[in-house]
Amino acid sequence: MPLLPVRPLALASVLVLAGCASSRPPAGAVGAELDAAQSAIAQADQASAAQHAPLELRNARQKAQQARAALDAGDTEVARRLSAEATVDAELAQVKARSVVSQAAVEEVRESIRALREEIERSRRG
Amino acid sequence: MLRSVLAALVLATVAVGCGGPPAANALLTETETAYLEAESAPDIARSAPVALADARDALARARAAQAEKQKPEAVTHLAYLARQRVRIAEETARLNASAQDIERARAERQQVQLEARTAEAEAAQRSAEAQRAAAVAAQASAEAQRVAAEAALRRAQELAAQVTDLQAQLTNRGLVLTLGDVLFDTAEATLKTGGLRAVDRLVSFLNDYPQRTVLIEGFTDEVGSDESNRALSERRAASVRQALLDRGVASLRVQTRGYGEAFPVASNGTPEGRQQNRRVEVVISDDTGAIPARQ
Repeated sequence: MPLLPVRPLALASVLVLAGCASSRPPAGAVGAELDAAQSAIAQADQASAAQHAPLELRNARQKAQQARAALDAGDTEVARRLSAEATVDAELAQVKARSVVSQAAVEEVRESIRALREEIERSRRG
Repeated sequence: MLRSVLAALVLATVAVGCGGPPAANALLTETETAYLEAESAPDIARSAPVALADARDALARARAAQAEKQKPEAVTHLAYLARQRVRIAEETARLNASAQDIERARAERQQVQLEARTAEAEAAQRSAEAQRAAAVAAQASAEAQRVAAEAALRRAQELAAQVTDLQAQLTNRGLVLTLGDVLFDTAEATLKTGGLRAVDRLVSFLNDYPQRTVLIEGFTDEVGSDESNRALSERRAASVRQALLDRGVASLRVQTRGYGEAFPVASNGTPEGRQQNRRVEVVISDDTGAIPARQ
């Protein structure tokens, strides 16, 4: 078998990979990103996301778990992406929960206004 | 042979990775659309500008990754972040809008509470006034009843006094004034002075009670024929009638009847009894002018 031009092939491959893929992030930086994701999840929890934005919160938690697993397996690129997605999912869960709660509060005040107007009507009718 | 296969493989990788146009990414396309919609919504740009800017930046990073022909999973990952950022912008706008709505609603509620209290106070006042008016009306009604009762009592007392003056009796037919035989000339129909005095009293009564009428009934004893007794009794009743008319009583108010020997009130076997039967009874009506028939 003739010798393969290994070196040019390897070089080309490395160049291809380098040109078309991002670099491997260091584990420490990814760990910090994962911590940030957990913090965002905790905040969403505090905003009652479990009640008002359960799907978004569950997505965040699952991705954080998967990120942890990937990090432990040394797959730092995958871990970084999953952490970033977990964070944004948790942020969405938090703002959605607060939005739902706020809208419910508005409806409550409007309902009390309706009840008051009925009372006024009754008083006026004598 | 292997060399050329490997070379082709390398070329193919290079071609796919770094040559030609970038392959379309479905999530990126969807995110582009979603971002444009969010950007053109006036309330999102107005109330969540920072969140919208974050979404724009994330979308730019995703686009750049695609232009640089990075791995599909890299592009998809960045597109996912951008897609979520668009959602965050939309939800933030909703949150801020409802925060404003709460403020406005609370202010409105305060107004309406004030209105409610005012309406309640007015209703209470109306109710109190109505109660007062009802009390006043009740009092006036009670007073009117008292006055009416007093008046009725006075009228009854007056009537009793009048009846006493009249010297009439209260019978089951009403008031009856009896003019005895002594008040007439013997066997005649002419009234003597005493009879005229009795008539005067009757006239006075009838003037005080203009609604009342009289029925004058004449009676005799059994002595003599039925016919002549009937005639005498009629003449005596007519005589009393004429005396009333002479004194101004309207003729409509006075009726007469002669019963002759009928309806004796005492035994015709004794002089006293016969004298009692020779009489004229004046039946006085009630205050509607009605006189019950003789039983």
